[in-house]
Amino acid sequence: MGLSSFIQGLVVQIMAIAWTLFLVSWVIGWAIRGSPIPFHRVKKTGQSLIEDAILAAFWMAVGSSVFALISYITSAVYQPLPPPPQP
Amino acid sequence: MDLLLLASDVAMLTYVLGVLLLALPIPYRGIKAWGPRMIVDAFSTAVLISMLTVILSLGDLILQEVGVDWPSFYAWLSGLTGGIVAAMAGLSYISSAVKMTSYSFVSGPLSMAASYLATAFSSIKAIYLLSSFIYVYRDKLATLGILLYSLPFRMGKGVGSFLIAASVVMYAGFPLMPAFVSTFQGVASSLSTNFSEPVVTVRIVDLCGKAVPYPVVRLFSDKQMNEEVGVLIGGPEGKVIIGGSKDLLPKNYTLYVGVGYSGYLFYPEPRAITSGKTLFTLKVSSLLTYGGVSIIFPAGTLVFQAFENSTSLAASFIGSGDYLVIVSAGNAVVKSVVMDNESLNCHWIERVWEGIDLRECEVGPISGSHAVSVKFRGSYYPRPSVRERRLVYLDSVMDILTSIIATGVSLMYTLVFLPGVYIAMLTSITAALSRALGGSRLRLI
Repeated sequence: MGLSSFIQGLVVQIMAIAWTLFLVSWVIGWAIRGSPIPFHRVKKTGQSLIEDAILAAFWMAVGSSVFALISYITSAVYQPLPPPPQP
Repeated sequence: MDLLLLASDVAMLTYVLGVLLLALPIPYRGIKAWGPRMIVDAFSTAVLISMLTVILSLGDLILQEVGVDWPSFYAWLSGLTGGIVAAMAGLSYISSAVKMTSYSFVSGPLSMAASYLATAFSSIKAIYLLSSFIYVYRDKLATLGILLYSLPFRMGKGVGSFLIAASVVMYAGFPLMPAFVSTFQGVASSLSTNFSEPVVTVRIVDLCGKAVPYPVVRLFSDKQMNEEVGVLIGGPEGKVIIGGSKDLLPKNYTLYVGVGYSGYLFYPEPRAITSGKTLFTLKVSSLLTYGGVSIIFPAGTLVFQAFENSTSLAASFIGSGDYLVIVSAGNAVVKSVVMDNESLNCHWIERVWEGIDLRECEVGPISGSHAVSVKFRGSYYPRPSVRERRLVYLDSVMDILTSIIATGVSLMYTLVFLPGVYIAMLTSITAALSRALGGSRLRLI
């Protein structure tokens, strides 16, 4: 197995873990936020966990699209330049 | 392995790690802050990967705009190398020329000049190495930079951005080095040091204008001939070569000449050789010689007719009241000496001069008008076994030495100091560009 395919496999695994973690964070976030306790700071932590989880889910969802967009834009702005001089 | 493909995979890994950190169900902001940071880094890497061709073309574009190229840079380097090699060759020539003379004390300054040249040569080698590395490996350098840039947790971002910046700045910067050096070279002396000495040919002839074979030419710095500066032996055609690669002559000189031949020292006409001319014909007007047999006229004798061939010498002259000398050397045998149609019975005295067997006969004292004729056989005059002493002038040595040291200093300035400053400047530009690409300040420790 080459280094490249190893990294690709790793990416897929981490992506799966990240989705799981998103769900866990989301659930924990809501659990903390919705808990019947009067501590505002704890509830705010839950709120930030939910926000981060949603943000992570968003980036996971659009990640490949953003990469494709970058590649598209850079190839669109690229104009062929004169060839390098020969030694 | 395609490094660029690997870099894009690593960028993706950085991205998902960033997302993972962002999604962690822990409330620590310090850890979570890495999430957006790594997401942005991954996007930057994606931009760099896509723009690699543009980045690489940027160097060519800059070179095209400023009107320089790599072949002319290498031509400049080759020219400098040639200059150093010429200076080294000149130095070794001077070293060998003064080694066996009384001027061997200059070997200290010479070795100093040699060390200058060696330093300059090392510097030029370093420039060759560095520039060739950039020229050949700049694509790989940029790709490696992007790969390092894409590593998670900004592990190689500083080095990576520096390598990317170097592939652009160094590639465009090195061919501009000749322009930079020539701008600041200023009054530093030119590299073309001319060590070639003028070649002076001195031809020694007798009163008939025929060549005197193997003349021993003694050169004096004063007219009274007290201070001998050199002893040279001419060839069978009477030619003596002064200068070239054998002697070190000063720029301006006047050397008084004495010609040793057949055991006598003659004063030729003109008496001296001077700088400015390269060909001298010195006439020994008191000598009539052919192949080892000579008639030597005393001072004050007026020779109004002379003749010589392979079997006889003849002259008509007005004597000065002194002795006339007839000399035979080597294997020449005098058959008869006739004075005013009367055969003379010579009393031959044998002696050895500089390894040559001589037989001498004195005739006279002679005054008034006479005619002498010498018949002989055999015509071989051997080369005298005189030890030559070539000319080495101190001021000439000093001139060359000064020129060598000036060249060495100029080379140090041109090839060590100015390129060093220029490379430092390129490095700082590279560091600045690498910061613009997102790298941090370079730290050695």
